[in-house]
Amino acid sequence: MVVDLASGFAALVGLGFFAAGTTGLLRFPDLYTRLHAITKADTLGLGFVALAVALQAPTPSLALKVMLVWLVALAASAISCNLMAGRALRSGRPPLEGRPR
Amino acid sequence: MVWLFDAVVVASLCWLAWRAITVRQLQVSIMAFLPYGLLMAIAWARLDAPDVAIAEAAIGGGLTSALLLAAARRVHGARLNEVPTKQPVPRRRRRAIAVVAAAVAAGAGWVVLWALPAATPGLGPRVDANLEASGVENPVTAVLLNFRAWDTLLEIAVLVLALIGVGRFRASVHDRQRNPSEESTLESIMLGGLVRLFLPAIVITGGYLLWRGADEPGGAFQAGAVLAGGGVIAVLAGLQRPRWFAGGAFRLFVVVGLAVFAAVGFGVMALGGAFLEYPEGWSKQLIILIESAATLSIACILVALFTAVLGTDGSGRADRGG
Repeated sequence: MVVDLASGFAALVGLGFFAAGTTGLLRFPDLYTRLHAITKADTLGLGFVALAVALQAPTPSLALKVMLVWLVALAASAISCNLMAGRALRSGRPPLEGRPR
Repeated sequence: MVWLFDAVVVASLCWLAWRAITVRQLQVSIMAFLPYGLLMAIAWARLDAPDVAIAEAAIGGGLTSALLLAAARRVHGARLNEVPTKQPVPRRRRRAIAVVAAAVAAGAGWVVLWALPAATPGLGPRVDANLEASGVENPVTAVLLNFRAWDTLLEIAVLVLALIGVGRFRASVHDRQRNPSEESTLESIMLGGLVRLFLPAIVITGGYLLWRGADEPGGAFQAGAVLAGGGVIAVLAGLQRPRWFAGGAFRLFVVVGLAVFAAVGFGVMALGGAFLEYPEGWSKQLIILIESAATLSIACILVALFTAVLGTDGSGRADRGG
């Protein structure tokens, strides 16, 4: 029961981060802020969803596998974010400065 | 609630397929195709076909998209993102093609849904009845490597032919030139580090899929595709020189799957059986031998197809013509 509550709470928090990340992807003004939104907020959201699933896992090894999925996604999203932003910067796309219109 | 999940998957599949076909920029079209492959993998998993799901995730979601992007960049270069101004096909002819294609699809759908007898047992019961004799416990592997091994042999032959067709062996191979201004040192360290971190896990996953394929979902094609994915990111990160993919050892890896498969097929004939009719009690060992060799070949062929399409000059531009 306590586990179910904790699991549901983690899933809700995860969904909140996903919603925020997706809103950022759709509403932020340039590539850099959008990258920030989906690679950071979504990865944290995935972490909470993975935690929710891991709490429901029947065996500890399955729970560890789910958390491993999150670790892999964490490494991949952090580095792909850097690579994309670096490539965009060098290809002559300056980040937006000041207040967006 | 599961039907809601299925409905979202199906709706997303249809939307992505529509985007991939109708969008004018080639890169956007390919970017719609990539999640389409991943969602197809989920759809196959929901249809209780985990073998197909794994293959679809590795090949449809990963490798095909990488191949398409490499091919598109090679053909179009920097113009990849531009919206083409000229219609490649006149509007009237496009309408005619659309009408014919829709009629064919509707006809095929009608045949499947209404004209065919509704409930046939199919070949499933016969596979289950003979599963014990096949030497493996995964019915998909039993069909692919025993009952219909002939088909699988030809599939691997097709892969080898495709690679020869791409002209891998004749293509001039340049080493990937690293342009320091194009990629900062920090980024290549990060990318190289990530790939070094992931590659051992990918190799273990491939080996696991190969080994478990006898009894559970997995097998040579899934393992080969996963290993090929690792090879592709190693090439992209500059860890493996493309020149290696034209060397003698590599050519050996390309043909070893087909060679072992054919050798087993003819070998059992020498023992008095038919072509690929494994002697009793030897099925499992022979299947694992064939699958191991085939995994290596499939992985090498898929990576070689990618490097061949990439052009391997590193700039992503065509190295001759345009």
